[in-house]
Amino acid sequence: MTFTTLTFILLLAIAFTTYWSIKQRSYQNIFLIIVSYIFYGWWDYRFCFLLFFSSLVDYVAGYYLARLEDPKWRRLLLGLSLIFNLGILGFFKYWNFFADSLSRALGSVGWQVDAFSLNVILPLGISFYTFQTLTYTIDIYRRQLQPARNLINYLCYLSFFPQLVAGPIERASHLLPQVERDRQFNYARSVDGCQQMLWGFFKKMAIADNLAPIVERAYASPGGMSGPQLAFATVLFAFQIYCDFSAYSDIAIGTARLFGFDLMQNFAYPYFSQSISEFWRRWHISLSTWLKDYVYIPLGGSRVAPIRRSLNVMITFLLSGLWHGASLNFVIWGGIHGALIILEPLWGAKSALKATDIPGGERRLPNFSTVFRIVLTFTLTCFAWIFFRAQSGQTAALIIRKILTEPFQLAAYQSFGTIFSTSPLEPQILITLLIGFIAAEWMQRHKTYPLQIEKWHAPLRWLVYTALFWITLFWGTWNTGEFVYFQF
Amino acid sequence: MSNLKRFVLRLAGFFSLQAAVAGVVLTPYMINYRDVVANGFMAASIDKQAELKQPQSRPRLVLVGGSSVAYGYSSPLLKDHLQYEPVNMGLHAGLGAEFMLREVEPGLKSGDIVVISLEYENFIGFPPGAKDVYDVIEADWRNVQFLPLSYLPSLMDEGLVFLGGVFRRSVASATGDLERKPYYQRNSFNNYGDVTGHYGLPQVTEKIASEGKTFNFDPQDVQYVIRSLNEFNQRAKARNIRVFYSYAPLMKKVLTENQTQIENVAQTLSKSLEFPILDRPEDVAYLDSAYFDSRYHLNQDAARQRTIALIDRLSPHLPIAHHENSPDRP
Repeated sequence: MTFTTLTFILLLAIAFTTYWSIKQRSYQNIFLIIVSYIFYGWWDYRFCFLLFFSSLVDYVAGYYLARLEDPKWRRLLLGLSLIFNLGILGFFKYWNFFADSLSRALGSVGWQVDAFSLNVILPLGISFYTFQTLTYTIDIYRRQLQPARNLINYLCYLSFFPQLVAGPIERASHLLPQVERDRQFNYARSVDGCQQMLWGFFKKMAIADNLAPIVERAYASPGGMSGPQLAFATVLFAFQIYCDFSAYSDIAIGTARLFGFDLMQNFAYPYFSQSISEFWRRWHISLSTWLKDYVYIPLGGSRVAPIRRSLNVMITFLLSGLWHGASLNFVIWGGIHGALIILEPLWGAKSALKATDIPGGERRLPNFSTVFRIVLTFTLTCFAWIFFRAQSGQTAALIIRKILTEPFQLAAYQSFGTIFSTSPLEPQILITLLIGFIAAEWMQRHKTYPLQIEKWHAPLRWLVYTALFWITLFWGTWNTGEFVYFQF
Repeated sequence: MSNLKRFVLRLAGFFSLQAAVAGVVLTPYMINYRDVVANGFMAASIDKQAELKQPQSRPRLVLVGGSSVAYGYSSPLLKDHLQYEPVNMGLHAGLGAEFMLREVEPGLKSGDIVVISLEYENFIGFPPGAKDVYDVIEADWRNVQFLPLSYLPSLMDEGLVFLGGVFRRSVASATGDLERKPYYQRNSFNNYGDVTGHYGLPQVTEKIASEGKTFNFDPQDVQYVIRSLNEFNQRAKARNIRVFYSYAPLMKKVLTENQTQIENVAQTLSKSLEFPILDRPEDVAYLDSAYFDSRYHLNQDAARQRTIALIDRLSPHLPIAHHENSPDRP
């Protein structure tokens, strides 16, 4: 079930009213599990069995990891849990990628083998909930977390519907305690949740889904596009994927608030970053911190020799790329980010900023050097997005070649406007929306999300909400289209 | 007042405000839009259903399917050569086979003949997308009665798509930005339900060129539709109504491009359908020039040609057909 459907809104309305009419926490949790499985099973009921089975295995693993004392047995149990989880993820997500790669590799040395490819359907959200369940067993193994008090609580934690399919990837240490304590309805947080949802709907429907057809056309046939058009399409893709993915997080966080849960912030104005390392503190925070805590630091982190540190960074980013999908393009995308972070100190990029710092500094109008760093970081991010979005390495290479060579040819600009031929909106409306969105993000970047305007006068606030509501309903592309990150 | 109650009231306040905004801003547009809908293509369902309910002195030949049926027959010709009163119920493939069958079933009477021609898209992806279903409900809300339960998930999923579309189309209809093709209107149909509004108009090649070319049938979907057709036939048989199947007139070029896939479907249909199939896919496939604006929409001459083919193939099955009164061959 997608957030942008009437089905979800009906489910949410029914779930919200029923949930708060249930007085006992244990029954509330059971109810949330039922709602979550309906939400997940709406795509394909078979996915529910996998989710349940995966949950069961890790619940049992967590139970024994907490009770066993012998390090050997504990290591063995953790190993089995990791093999199981990563095995499932590997089978569903990477089998065909590795099978095809192996067939090609063997074929290139003259050993022809039939492809081992299988017709495997990728269960939605498997990368998200697998990483979530891994935090549970690893944290219990590290004695940093107590296991769930019962299976119901654990099922509720893992299947919690707002973030099940596309995150934020919640740590057991953050979400499980919330599942296990009584929850009271909180007026202010619920209102805040609704506002964040409204902002998410606006980003997804009015921006991301209206940009998608333009980007799709450009990337589907880059040969017929000029360099400037491809460069523009890449910039639009940067905003499409940001608005799409961060919208999912906004709606998820807002929905969770309605049920008395706090999910972690997943985006913190990443395009105002002044370095790639800052970008990764602001982009998909739940994944980047997961990789830092469970891959980068165990590898030695930065407390090792510079070369080893660089290797750790590269391994982490290559894994990040692979997490996104079984394709060499994603690996290259991760590799580019890893390389940029390794090389960043060479040009003295600012890397001290944290996600909690105000992006772009506190000044309303930034100085020239800040603007330069923001633009440079954004440009580098866009360069990497080319690999992320292109169908293949060759396509990405073609796009880059055109972008680099054609801007200096006058002819390349003559039919620039044709890039909007697939746009669902008039170009001037679309560009106005995009500029308005960027301006709103800049002005409100000291807030968790731009629609936190509780200090404004009530009539003005309601005017903004109403305007956003109607822009979304009127100009939004309500196409039940799924979110980009569902495929990961 | 509890916090929860306060919250619900505030939420209700917000949506009431939006309803008021909609009322004030959109009502003038909606009045105009209502008119557009009442005269739109889908509103022809009202006339078709009324025609089906009309008492007739002789049994009817009811043509069922999507727009390929609406565009694909000349009912006056059928009336002249068969002793049956034609009722062309064809409207839109996007309504799906189940809707089409449910729509005609209550109006059928003992002795009627039903000829079903489903576009190949009806065997792909089930249930169908909700857009066209919403459009037909928008034209006449009583069409809800023909919705099978299996359509509900996609209708719910696409409910907001429809709502947004209503607002956009309302404004566009008042500002003159809503594209209204004269041959896609309620008055483009004749009294029998055939589309005739395009007669004499030149071919619209751009639309044909923009249509997808390949079919990817899902065997499960094919079986599902066959099951629905057979169940319909069973119920019809019990009421002394005979059912036939005739293939949709797909453009020859597209048929050739999908030869293997379509042959597989045709084989499954011949094996599994429990009522007669009158032709083969290639019998009703025509050259590009026979189509108006889609790979299914025949022009006047081709519709006549197809009608003659139907008369020829159907006549032997009909006890009261006038075999001697053969139509002129083109």
